[in-house]
Amino acid sequence: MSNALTLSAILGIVVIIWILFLYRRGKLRENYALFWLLISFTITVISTFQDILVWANTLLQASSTTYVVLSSFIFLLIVVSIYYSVKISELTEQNKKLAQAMALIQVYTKEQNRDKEKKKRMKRIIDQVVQEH
Amino acid sequence: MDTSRRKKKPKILVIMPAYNEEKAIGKTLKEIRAKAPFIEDIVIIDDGSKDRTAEIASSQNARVVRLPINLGIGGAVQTGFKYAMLNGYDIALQIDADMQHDPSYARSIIKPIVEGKADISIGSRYFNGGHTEMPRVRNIGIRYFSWLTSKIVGHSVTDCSSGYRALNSKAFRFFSKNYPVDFPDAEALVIAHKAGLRIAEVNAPFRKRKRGRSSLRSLKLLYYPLKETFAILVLLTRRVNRIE
Repeated sequence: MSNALTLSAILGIVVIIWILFLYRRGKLRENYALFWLLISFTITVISTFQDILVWANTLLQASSTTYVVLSSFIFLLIVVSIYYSVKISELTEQNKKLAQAMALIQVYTKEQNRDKEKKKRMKRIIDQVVQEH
Repeated sequence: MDTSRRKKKPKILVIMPAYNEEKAIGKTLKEIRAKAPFIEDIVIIDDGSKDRTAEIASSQNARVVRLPINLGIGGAVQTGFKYAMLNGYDIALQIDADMQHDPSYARSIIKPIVEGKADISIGSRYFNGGHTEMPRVRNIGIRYFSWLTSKIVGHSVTDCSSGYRALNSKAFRFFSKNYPVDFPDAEALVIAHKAGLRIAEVNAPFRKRKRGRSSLRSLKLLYYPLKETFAILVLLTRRVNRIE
């Protein structure tokens, strides 16, 4: 096992522990935690079991297993980035809709309260007029 | 004259998106009321301003919708369309808060809508060869997008980036659900055209900006043409439900 592969296996385990820690503290939602656990578990497995890498090496006709690991990581990072870009876009749209709804509801409530105040004032005036007569 | 046959007066709402416009908003509101008295209500969409924009607008009896965060011009204008839809207005007139738009032209901008000749009417600063004082790069950008929009909609649009425009209820109902977020003007016209809305243009020279800064500065000036071209080209491939 080369030093690079040993390092990536260790890093994979460190990431697994880190994700579990974050999940336990409630800083990660389970769907994201599972997603990252799956990725770090895959990194650990392919770095530990060289046979998988040798097979991938032959398939891709790469000059070294390290290149296979490196290009797999880069590919994975691109996929993860695109996934998060989609998520951020969705959240931005939701955020916009919520902000708009909140602002419109605030105006509506304010106008309703103003109408109630008006009605109360009118009632007071009517009561006063009735009492006077 | 038979009153039953007399046309009902349209309920017109001015939508004014504003971000940190405390110095101009008061004067703009006064000017609109003086020069366009036929307008029923004015709603200010305060796009998360850090200054006294909302307070000044409220003190002048304008309706104020305060967005809790800054959504950008597209999100703010769309909030205005939602407000117009929820409150049953017939026509929405979009005006900038920085006094660049002269309210004297409001009637002529609304005219094609009232006459049923268009669903969206744009106040153009370039109509009939008009000129404006603005940086050359910006001028070229507007001309380029107006050319692109004209090619897509099939008739001449001289000022696709004008934020001085009127819409009937069909158009603002549609935009309350489908409106671009960043620099929305040209893209909105393309979506409107795809949805079957009719676009018209009238003359409305802009005044020189006295206060504040344009939202198109520095890096945004480079980002805008790229983003807008990309968005418009992708939009051409997207299916938009036509409004009957």
